[in-house]
Amino acid sequence: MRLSFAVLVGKLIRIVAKLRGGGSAIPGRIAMIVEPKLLSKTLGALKHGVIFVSGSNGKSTTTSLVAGALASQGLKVFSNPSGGNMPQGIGSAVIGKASLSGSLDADVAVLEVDEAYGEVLAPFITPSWVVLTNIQIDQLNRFFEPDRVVGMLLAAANHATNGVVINGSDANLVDIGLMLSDVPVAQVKVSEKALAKWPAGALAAPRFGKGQVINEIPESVSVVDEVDGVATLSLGGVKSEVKLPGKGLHFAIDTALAFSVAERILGSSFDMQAASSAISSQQTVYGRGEIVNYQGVEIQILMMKNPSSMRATLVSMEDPQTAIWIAMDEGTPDPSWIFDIDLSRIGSVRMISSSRAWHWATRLSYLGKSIEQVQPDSKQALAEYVSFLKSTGKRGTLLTNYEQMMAIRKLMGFLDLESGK
Amino acid sequence: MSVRFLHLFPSQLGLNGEAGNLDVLVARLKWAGIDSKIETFDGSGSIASGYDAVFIGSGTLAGALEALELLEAQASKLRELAESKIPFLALGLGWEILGESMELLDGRTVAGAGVFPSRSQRIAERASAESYGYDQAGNLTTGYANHSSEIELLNDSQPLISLEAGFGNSSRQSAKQRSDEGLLNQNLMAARLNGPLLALNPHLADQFLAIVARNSGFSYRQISAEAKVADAYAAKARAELRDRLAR
Repeated sequence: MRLSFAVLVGKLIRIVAKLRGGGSAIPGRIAMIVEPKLLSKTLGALKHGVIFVSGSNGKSTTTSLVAGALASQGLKVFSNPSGGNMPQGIGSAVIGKASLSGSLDADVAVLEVDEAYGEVLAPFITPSWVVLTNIQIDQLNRFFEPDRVVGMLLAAANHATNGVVINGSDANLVDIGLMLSDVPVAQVKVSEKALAKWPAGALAAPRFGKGQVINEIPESVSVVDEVDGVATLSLGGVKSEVKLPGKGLHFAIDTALAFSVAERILGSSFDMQAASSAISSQQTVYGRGEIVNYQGVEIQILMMKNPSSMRATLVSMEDPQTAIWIAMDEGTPDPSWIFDIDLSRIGSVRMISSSRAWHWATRLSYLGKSIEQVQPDSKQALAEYVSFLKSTGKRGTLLTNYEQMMAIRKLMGFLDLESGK
Repeated sequence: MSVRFLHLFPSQLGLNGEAGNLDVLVARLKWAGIDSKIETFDGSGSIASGYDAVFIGSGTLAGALEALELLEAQASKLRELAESKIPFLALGLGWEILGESMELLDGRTVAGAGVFPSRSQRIAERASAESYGYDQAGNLTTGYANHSSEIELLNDSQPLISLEAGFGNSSRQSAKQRSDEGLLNQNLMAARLNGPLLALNPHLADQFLAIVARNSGFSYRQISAEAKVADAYAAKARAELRDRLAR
């Protein structure tokens, strides 16, 4: 009774909030005052419970891959649009989908969970499964050291009731797997051949002070190889090819993680062929390689979040000779890491914008790269960049941090920021 | 003339653009017509002689403690190099393990390599903030502070920079001496700011290279066109940070 009242109140507030524009966490916040157990009574009641996807990088991609893999097996999946990490934000998403009686038409929920929020969410909703993508050198201004993230993810994984699936090529996650004693752990193994093609340190933060670790964690789906955006995955010796959301070994690992959790949930009825076909036809996740059309020109948006994702982005950048625009602001508080990346795939740079423009210009000038223009003002930079693309007929490539990606999309008039339309 | 750098523990202590500092030194020497090469020590074998300068970067606490353990047998060699006036540039946790001692959070005190006249105490409080101030010559100096300890300077060492905003040798919000950042003592230079420090602050790179040049007996003057371009960009990056923080 209280649940349906909470959902009704939430739905009404949602309508008002939508009309006023913004405030996406408010319906959830109010509904959870009416019914504090909103999340456990809705998501917790699902047949296969709730899957948390966490880690430094690839959370959105993996969340969408897990949802896709499970849907390919005939399951109805509830998922949160990226960014809604807080309990109240997830509550809002639940209210949007729930019936007035408070039930969700789903068998399983997949939630993207920020590294620091596993512990915040756990009191509201217990995960049945936890999927961990990687621990990278990421947002040091906020996380300080990768070791601290190890502690956060270990705490989140400890809440899993059914199991944990980890990327076994990440020494930090293997350590977490070995520290979990009360919950079954499965790993995605990555072949030496596939790893050898990738720059050292590109996938995970190094782990110090542990010596040689014996890793006998049970395996699920493994990565045999990745070539130009096509992965060969293997389950119990049976191989399957998957067209990935983009080029790069990280996408192969994310896909194998998704298949592994589906395999753990469904057991022998998991059909990897069906999952592979479904993922092969899935669309690119927003912000990672998406091409937008603006005023008659095409601009590919590539997000740079940390050194690992930047390396992956540069590997997957199709045409290094394209006109490059780099946009970064103080949403990246400490951009020191731009000095750690091999930028040899970047030839010259057409435009650098926003408050970190001078930082980037310093880096590029030490590399002897030519810089056509530095324009701290994003609006001005967009106008001048687009006019250059128009006059030359070139396609553009925007390398940007998250904050500038949102700001520039807004300047382009893409107002529905969450769906990317 | 070819300048020989020794880079200590590049893999254990190379967390956040640290190698960029050496890239800057090498590029500036090249722009001045001087060759250089970098040799590394990561714990295996022993440290040789004949270096013109030694560099150590920052990293994670686990990485630093691993490096300190691997350094044990080589600490006397490093002290010998420092006593013979070879210039050292140490950053962040690399500086802490080359100091006299480090007190850890559990109360244990571990001996450092004893190269730098300083000692540190790890604290629970963490500093994470953009910072700016001025070096001893009055140059605007900026960077990012991200650390969790208090460093005490010993034996007449001077702070390298005096901060007006952010965190220096203490990560404590309440610390009186928060404005003191880094250390300068003859051939020894240390700092905690990220940036990388020398990329954003070429005056510090040139100050260090001048110490190297004096000690190794060559002349270093930076008047290249390349430096003029890079330094103009870095100056704007520093001004942007200061103006934003001072607002």
